[in-house]
Amino acid sequence: MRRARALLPAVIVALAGAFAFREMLRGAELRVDDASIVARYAENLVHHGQLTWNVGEPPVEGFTGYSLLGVMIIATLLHVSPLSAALALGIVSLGAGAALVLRAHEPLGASPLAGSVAAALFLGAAEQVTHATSGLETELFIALTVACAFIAVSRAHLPPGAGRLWPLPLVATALVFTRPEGLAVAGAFLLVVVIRERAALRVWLFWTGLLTVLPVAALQLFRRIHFGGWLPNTYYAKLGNPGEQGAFAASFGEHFQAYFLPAVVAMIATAIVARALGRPVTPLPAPVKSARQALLLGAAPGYLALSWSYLRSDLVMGYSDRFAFHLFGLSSLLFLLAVAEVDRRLRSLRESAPAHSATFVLACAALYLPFANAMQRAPKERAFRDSYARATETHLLPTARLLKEILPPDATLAVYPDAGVVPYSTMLRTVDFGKLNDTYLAREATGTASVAEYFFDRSPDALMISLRAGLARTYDEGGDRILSDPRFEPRYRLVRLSLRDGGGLALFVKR
Amino acid sequence: MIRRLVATAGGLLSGLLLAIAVTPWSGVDAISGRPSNALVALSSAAALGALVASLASTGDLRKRGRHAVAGASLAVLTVYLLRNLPLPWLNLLALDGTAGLAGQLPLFSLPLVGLLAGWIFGARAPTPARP
Repeated sequence: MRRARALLPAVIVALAGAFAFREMLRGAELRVDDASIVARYAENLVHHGQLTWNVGEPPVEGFTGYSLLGVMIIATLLHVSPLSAALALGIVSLGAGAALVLRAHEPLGASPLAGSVAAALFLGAAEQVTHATSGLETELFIALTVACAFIAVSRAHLPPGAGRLWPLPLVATALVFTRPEGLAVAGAFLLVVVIRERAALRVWLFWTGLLTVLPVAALQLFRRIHFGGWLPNTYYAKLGNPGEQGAFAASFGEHFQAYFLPAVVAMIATAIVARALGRPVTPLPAPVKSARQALLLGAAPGYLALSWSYLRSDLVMGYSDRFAFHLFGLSSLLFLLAVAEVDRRLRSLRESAPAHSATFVLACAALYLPFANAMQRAPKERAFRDSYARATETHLLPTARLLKEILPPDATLAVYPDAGVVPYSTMLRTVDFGKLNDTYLAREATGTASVAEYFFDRSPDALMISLRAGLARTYDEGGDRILSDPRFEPRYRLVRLSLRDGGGLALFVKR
Repeated sequence: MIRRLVATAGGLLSGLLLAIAVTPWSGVDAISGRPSNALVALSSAAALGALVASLASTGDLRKRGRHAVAGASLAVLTVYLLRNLPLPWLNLLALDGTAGLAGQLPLFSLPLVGLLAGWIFGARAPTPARP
């Protein structure tokens, strides 16, 4: 019995890992368009010595973070496909994040079983496989938030200034370099730890200054000098229009309801029953209490900052309802905390046999609910990955092949708005009407008229434009304006129309 | 044991009566996903749990009060789970009820809540004496 109890956590994590692995192997390979944008920057730096979108043009920062870029640069230097390296990074991050969630049970005063349930949810949540195989930095970011929180809660068990101090500032910096909003999460956990360990303030200031403040300041300086701004171009490109903000709020709500709320409900119900019927609960040891406080205090500003940041962002692609998942690492640790509390309160009910049994069964069912939700969502996620991959195969790759055949290498392409696969495959000079890689469109263009004027000013040799309902309705009003402009028809001719259920893309080249 | 069976049967009956009262009020959606129906589901379950737990248990008013709180809490948790778990589809039209996912039918959920509360709190010693 004791041996079975010891093995159970490992079995739970192994089952969830097998589920995630099976989901990865099923269906088509996902290749999110934006991953190719980062790969283009990496190749431009390695092959042309310029960290820029178009070689020879003023630099623009059209990527989200430097960690993924760094990995892709190293891969390119080693003659490995940067997209394969990004895929490997995502999968490794998924495993590492789960391992850290599992290990977090110790500092948070939870049982190994509680840790394994939280780690299993981290692995088994349907969207995790999508993120791990997207080629983007999301899964790395999620894993780094867990790492940051893990180090912060582990420090609660040490006297101020004891042990190794460098890991937290180092991970915090990695978090900031991975996504800019990592600053909020990293800053919150660093602040919580430094305040708790204020007796060793000098040592902390040294390590934080050396490993966090200096690198982040250097990055900002580099950004200002090289790209000409304090914030990346992606920030301006995604600044929201109010009509679409509800999608992010709905996404947050949906994820909260599916994966986190059942544990909270179970925790509250168990606490009420235990208080009404059970013996007083065993008080938590001071370090565990301190660790839990550190997690809650560190996570709260992170949630607020990330929510604020995403609520202000525009929906750029169909991938966006998954953005709420950047919080999933912290949510998994809070889920672990809820499971630990359910476990602790149940122990106080042991002498009340009928109530204990009923509460135990109901709490187990509530903790199973996130897994049931994950399994229900898995086919939907698989369908999303398949349709995304099919769209790439059907629309983007054939267009890229055609462009290579019909355009000279020094031609200019305009993309509206998918700037990933085609510009990366063709390596043509590209004007990005998706705004991520174009300073004017992201920061200065106002209204559809200025977008159309910019198009005719740049006078690209070809235009690849996404369609929503054939040529009658393109990606947005700016695209419609370009196609309906009287100057367009005499200058451009349609060479490829790739449609499926009305959606798809059109390729025009200069007459 | 007889006492417990009576409490369980009483809980089941109370749940059934409450479900019959709730079903026409909440409409054909029964206690499905709409926020107003969720409120009906959770509040009626809480009331039922509290009532059955306080009536089924023995002891002074204070103890019955504690049992009512615990009963309400367990009832809310039960209905929350029933409404969210992927349970089979049931057709209760023959009982003048509704048809839908099992957990979203008051004629299924509320009697179950009553039954559970009666079984737990009808036990001779559902809770130990407080120190």
